[in-house]
Amino acid sequence: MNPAIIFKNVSKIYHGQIFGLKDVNLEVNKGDFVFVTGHSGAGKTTLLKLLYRALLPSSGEVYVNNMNLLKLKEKDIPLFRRTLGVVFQDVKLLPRKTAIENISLCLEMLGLSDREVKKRAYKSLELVRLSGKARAFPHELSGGEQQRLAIARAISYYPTLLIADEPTGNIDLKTSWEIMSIFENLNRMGMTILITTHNPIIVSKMNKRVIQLKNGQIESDSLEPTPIRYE
Amino acid sequence: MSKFRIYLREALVSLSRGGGMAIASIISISFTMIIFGLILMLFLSLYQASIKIGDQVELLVFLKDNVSAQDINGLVGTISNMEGVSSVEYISKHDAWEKFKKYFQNKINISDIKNPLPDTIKVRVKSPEYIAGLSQVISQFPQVDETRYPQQLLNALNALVQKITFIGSLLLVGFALASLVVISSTIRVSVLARRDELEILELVGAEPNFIRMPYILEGSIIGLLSSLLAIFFFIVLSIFLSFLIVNVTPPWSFFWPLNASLWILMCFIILLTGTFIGFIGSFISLRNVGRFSVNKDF
Repeated sequence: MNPAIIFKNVSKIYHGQIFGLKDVNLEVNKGDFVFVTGHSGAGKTTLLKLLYRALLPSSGEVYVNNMNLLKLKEKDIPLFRRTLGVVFQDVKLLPRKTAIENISLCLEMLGLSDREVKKRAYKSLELVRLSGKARAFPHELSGGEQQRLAIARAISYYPTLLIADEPTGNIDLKTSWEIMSIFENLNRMGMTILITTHNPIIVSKMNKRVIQLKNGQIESDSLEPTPIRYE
Repeated sequence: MSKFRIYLREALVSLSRGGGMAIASIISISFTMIIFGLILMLFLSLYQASIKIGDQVELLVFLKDNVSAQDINGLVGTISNMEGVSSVEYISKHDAWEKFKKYFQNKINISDIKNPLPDTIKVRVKSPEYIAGLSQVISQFPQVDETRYPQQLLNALNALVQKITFIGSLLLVGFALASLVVISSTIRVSVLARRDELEILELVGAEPNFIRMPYILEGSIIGLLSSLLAIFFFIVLSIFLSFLIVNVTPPWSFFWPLNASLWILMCFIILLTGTFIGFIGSFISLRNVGRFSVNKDF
């Protein structure tokens, strides 16, 4: 099987001395559902940023869908990003656009027809059970709804790989489970999912592969639910 | 939807949702455009005045004695067809003498004097720069005794027009550059306030043009609207001045102190400059703000 993600001896050093990641080797197969855990500063966000090419590794190689991101030309970055679905830690919704506009604008970049844009945007909202809030602005939505909208935008491209940075970071447990069930449904549809989180309850109950990072290194990588230790 | 329509829609939506920031930008830029317009108006008024004086300058062609009526008619026809001539008027020595007598009848006794005046052709030119050349050519005709025009006045006028054009252009270009700094700073503030939006668009895979074009169009529209506001100010100013100072009747009062075509030219220059500066200003602001997420490598 072709891996969706490969990290080969990847290190990321900030300011020439602080390790974000240290010699990380990792493979995620297509169709996998993977949690990346670890406490703050463990390297979770660095790992994701390397995946959507917001950062370049200081050494090593990163492959996403067989594409070596080191060799990706700057002009091809927008096109590459449109093959991924990314849910950002701080949701990153356009504040002056309604829910439906937040999704439509991204779809318009693909050059789709007006009809197709509308169809896909509403379908995405439906998948995250947010159809009733299509005309609401982000500030009119709750934290959980904003997360769901961010997911709707990320999946509207029909990406094969969805990465989410702390998608349950600032929301209550009930809403977190709703969001996890959305991710699970998307995974059943064949999407590869990689989620960073430091929520041990969610990780232990989801029964998925868990990669635990500590000080920028992989501490454990297990297909079995792993009890998470926080110091 | 075509990309341009998307850019335009995004620019208009952004403006309409921009609220106070957009209005503040438009008002501050329109003040700049008003000052620009005042300099332009002054420059065009001076230019108009100098052209008006120039237009009234005539070339007088004095004919020799005993030139036949047929020859005079032929000469009038020839001169009328020359390049740069706007009108030709023949004044016979008899008519000229009658006019002279009428004017001086109560002032001096001229009843005994024999008519000393020659037959004359008055030539009006389209523009003062034709006059010297025409004078030279016409004086070569055998029927012509002498040609005269106010050369010193014309030279002074030419020098004045050149000076006005030079200083005016310098002032306008200088002020346009100053406006560019003001406008790009204003737009930069608005772009910086929405820096997050630019970053988000980049992170979700928008191409540079897709991110920049709506902002550049928005800047151009802000420039256009500011220019329209400045033009509105000039309309009010012109009406006010014409009624208060000049007391001329509408519709001509509307254009005071310029004529209609110069007034339209002034509006056109303000509109074009405002829009162009808005375009360039937002372009520079976006370039300065730069790219956000790519290779932010510490």
